[in-house]
Amino acid sequence: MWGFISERFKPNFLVNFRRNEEKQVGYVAIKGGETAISEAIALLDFLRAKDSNEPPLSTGGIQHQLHALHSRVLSEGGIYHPELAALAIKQSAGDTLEAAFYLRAYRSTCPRIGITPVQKTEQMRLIRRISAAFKEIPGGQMLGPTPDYLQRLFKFELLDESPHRFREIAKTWLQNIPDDNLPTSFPKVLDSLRAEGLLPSVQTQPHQPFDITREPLVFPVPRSAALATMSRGETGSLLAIAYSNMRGYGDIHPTVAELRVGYLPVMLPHPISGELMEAGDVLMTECEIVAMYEAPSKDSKPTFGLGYGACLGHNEVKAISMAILDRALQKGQQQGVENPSEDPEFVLLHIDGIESMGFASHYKMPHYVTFQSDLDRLRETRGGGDTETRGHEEEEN
Amino acid sequence: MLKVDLPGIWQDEVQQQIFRQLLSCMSNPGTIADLSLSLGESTALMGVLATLLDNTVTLHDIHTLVPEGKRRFLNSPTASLSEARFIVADGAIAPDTNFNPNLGTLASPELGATIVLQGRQLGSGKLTLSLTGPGIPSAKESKVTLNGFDDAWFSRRQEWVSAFPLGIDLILVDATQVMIIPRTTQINTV
Repeated sequence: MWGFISERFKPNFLVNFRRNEEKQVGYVAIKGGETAISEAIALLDFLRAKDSNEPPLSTGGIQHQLHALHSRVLSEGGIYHPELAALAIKQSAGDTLEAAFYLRAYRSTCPRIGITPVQKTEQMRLIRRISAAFKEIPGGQMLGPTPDYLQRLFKFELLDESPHRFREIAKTWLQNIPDDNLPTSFPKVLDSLRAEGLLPSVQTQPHQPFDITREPLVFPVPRSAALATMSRGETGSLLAIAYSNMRGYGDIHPTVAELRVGYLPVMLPHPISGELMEAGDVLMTECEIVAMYEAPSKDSKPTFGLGYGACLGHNEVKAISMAILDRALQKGQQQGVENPSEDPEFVLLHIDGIESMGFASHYKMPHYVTFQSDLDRLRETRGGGDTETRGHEEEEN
Repeated sequence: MLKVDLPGIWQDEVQQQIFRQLLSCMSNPGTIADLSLSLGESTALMGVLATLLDNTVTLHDIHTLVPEGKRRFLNSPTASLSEARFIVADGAIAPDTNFNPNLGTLASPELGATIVLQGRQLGSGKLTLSLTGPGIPSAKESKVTLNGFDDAWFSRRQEWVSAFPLGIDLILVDATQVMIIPRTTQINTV
């Protein structure tokens, strides 16, 4: 246990640590304070249960009724486990950073039973698919569930929603389903541009993708490392850096060629025959942007540049931000870094929620020794007299 | 959801139960945990290995304690004794002078091997170890008795862990129980 928590219950720790030199603690394990710690944990649990008239949240309720939060945690946790993502939200009381931390911790205990080949997202069973590049796209625009057209006016009747009315929503919707079956998978919008030669041809990667869960990021890193890091990155951090590029610290000017949301069948090689079989499917969001033309060499014709974003769950803003950052990072690599969003070290080392939250939180831990040294230096700089006496003067001020 | 008819230790929920117990044993050295509720027909040795190994963790089974068929289930590559991340050995057979496990490097002490020792009985027997160190309440010295473990393992361990953070971690198992002695624990044989 760290000394911090026991110390914080003492009313004036500044006085306390100076008068009891032998008890001074820094980065050392100390005993004591364990009761305070277990009480703090019990208090946290009490906080969510204090109004015992409310029913406890069900994980199904979290997964379905808070699906946006659920999707966010699913993607930042870096493991596709919808049920545990809901539990993580429940246990962390809705703190997305903490919830993703639970999933990452759980993930580290899971055995690795195999590695999938590259998955074909053309086979996604789509629930939504749009293009901002063309009005008419092969297969058509499919809006699917989206808050894009809402006016953000409150539905005050939801303040007191009756279970009966709640059930009616699904019932009514299901009654109005058309009889004819719609196709669930559609061709990629980019394929038509590619057929015209307006996009660089697809390059198959000779190397295994970089495994960010086993290898530290030592720069320069391949694009697969950047994509994997962004895919489980923290939504707000990705958005903030991508937004800096959109607003002016960069010049990507993206067009969303395609944004698709759906269930991707995950194909795994059979352990004995090696044949690919469908092991299940994952809800994911994929975004492809085209931005800025470039010519690979002086003699060749220019083509559009591409940016790619994909993450687990239904997270459109995250996928778009990731695609913009992917394009920005590629530009930085080819033409030199001119903006923060084009610098792989700046982007990739500052978008992980667990890392950044951990660093911020660690400042709550005891820094008694470093702070003592800061104090000593300040006193030294101010000059003159005996340290002990000056200390008391400061306290009296 | 596809359900496969496999013994419990190869299934996710059971591996999570065993993992929690191993975590608690690792935090409280000298504590003996009974895994029998999770194991079903399997041994503690296989339960521990099934939980901790996968195809990215290498294994050296020096006394061939893991049966051929189960070895395939573990899916972990074999490595030489000095390189393996996990070593399985019979606790009753003293390690010879050529037994030199990987102790890790100063930059990567986590690469130090974990040695799983199979013995006859944890919690009774003639060999008594007295344990002190992190995770052991200092008020009461932790004493454990063992049966079917050669004491040479513990004198050799002394060498292996002498340059902390380098060293090895020990997992002791009998038929159904497990106890862990991480490299931070000091052992005195009584």
